[in-house]
Amino acid sequence: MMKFYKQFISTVGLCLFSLHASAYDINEKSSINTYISQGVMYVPDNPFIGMEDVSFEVRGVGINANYQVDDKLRFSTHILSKKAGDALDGTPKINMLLADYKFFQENSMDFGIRIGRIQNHYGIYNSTRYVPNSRPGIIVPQSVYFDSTFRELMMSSDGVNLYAETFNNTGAYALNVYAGNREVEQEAFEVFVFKKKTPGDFKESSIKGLKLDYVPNSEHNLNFSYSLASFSSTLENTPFFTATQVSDANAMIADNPQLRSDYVTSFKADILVQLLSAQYGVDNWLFTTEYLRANSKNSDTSILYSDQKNQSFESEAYYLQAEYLGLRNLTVYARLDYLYTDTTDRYGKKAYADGILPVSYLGYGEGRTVGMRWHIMPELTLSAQYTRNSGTAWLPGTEGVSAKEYKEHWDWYSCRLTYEF
Amino acid sequence: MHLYVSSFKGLYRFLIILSCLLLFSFQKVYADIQVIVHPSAETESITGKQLRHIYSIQYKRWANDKKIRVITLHPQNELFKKMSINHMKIQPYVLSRQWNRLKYSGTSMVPIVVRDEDEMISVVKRLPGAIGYISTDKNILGLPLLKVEIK
Repeated sequence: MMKFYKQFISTVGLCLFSLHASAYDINEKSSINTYISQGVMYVPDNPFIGMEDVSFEVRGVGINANYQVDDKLRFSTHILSKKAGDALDGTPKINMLLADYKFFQENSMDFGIRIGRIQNHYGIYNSTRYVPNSRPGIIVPQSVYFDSTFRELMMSSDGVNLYAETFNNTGAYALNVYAGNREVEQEAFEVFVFKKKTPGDFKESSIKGLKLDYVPNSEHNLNFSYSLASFSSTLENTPFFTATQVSDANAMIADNPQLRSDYVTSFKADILVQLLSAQYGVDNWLFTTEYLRANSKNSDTSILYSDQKNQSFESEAYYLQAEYLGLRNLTVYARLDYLYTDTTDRYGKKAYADGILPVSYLGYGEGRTVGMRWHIMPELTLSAQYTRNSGTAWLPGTEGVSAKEYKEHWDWYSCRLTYEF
Repeated sequence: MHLYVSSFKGLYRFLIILSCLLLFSFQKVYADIQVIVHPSAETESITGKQLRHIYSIQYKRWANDKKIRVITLHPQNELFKKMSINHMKIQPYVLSRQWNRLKYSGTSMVPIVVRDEDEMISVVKRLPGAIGYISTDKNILGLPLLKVEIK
């Protein structure tokens, strides 16, 4: 009960602060933007982050503030309180808090550095994914943004970001290089690596990455980008087993290979993600596509103190999206998402036969989405979305529910009202 | 008598609903656009390409090295849409999404969004280096503003 009150007070506090702050919005040196959103979700076929039937436990309050000290120095922050079923409890979190220093600037060229909790530059939507109306629809494309598994890890890191921006006769270019650390959403990371919750903790991940953006001068409604990001995390606080326990556990593993991950005594995960993005606006249509290729390498692995062979596998994901913006105050969109966690075993059949996956369809995700956003007023929008999913690769795990209890084909309905000021 | 009043009540309701629908369906028709700047910008003309670079936050300084302050109407405003498509040759939603990316990723200051054309005039008048746009039916004669020719 105390926890509920604490979250309630902090969320109301954030709302009151944002209402007060918005009065000072227009200023040549500072800007404050705030949003409040309330959603409703219905996932009738599968357990979904503790939500049952129609759930209103999806809401958020966010504040984004920028302060330009002088021509070279700027501060920027984003604080978000988000409630989403059992996955996010509404406690306000700092998504971004950075100092930006431009050490060189001319009209067509900028070089600078950002330090603090920086945004990870990745794909088209990563840097704005926490702002409801900056996303395409209600959620970012699940195939390449991993909203239900690596949300925090993908969004920002505590570190340094060097950047360069320039434009010439061929177009506009931007390069961001960054490195840092971020705490890991332990359970989601364990489920991604071991396909279930296991003893031991992934506490922190190191993150390194770069992103190159290009907008051609010949067609400024077109943009391309290439993102590269690497994540590395080591399993800590693994359990201790006596010689007798090791012997007993080995016998159990021989009977049921899926128990192997319960007895991991050391493990390191390295994930290298490459993402190609393209977006093209023509008349009232906006087309977006992103293609991901990820290499996951498991090393330093031991099970019951017995060293294991290093393993690596390639994942592939992409989505195609079309938005129509030609209707008055209304945007409609459709999207196809595809994610295959192992390109050599796209539908997880081999992994299931080998006892690696509890069900084959945990190895892939396919989604067909339609949705709309109605701009009731400039500040007020209503969004609605429906997704028909196959596979459970992007379905977040729910405590106490085994992967076998999930259905392969499942629907996801959502609706959200957002007020921005 | 009662029937007479009731039938008029129905007519009044019908007229009120019709008026609301008409008000809702009519969009304000704007005259053409004029670009305005603070006199400190010392600029007499501008090309559509330069406007696009300015509103894309790529050009950051005027020729006299004065910092450019970009002012805009809300991206849902029809005048903004007209300005984007007709003069900057960029889709309005592409531009507004660029601003969202810059704003929410903490990578840059973005245009100051004003409520209407009167506020646009007031802000551009007040801020050194400011640039904005209004419809040509707005009279700015006598105000400390420069009207810039779009080439």
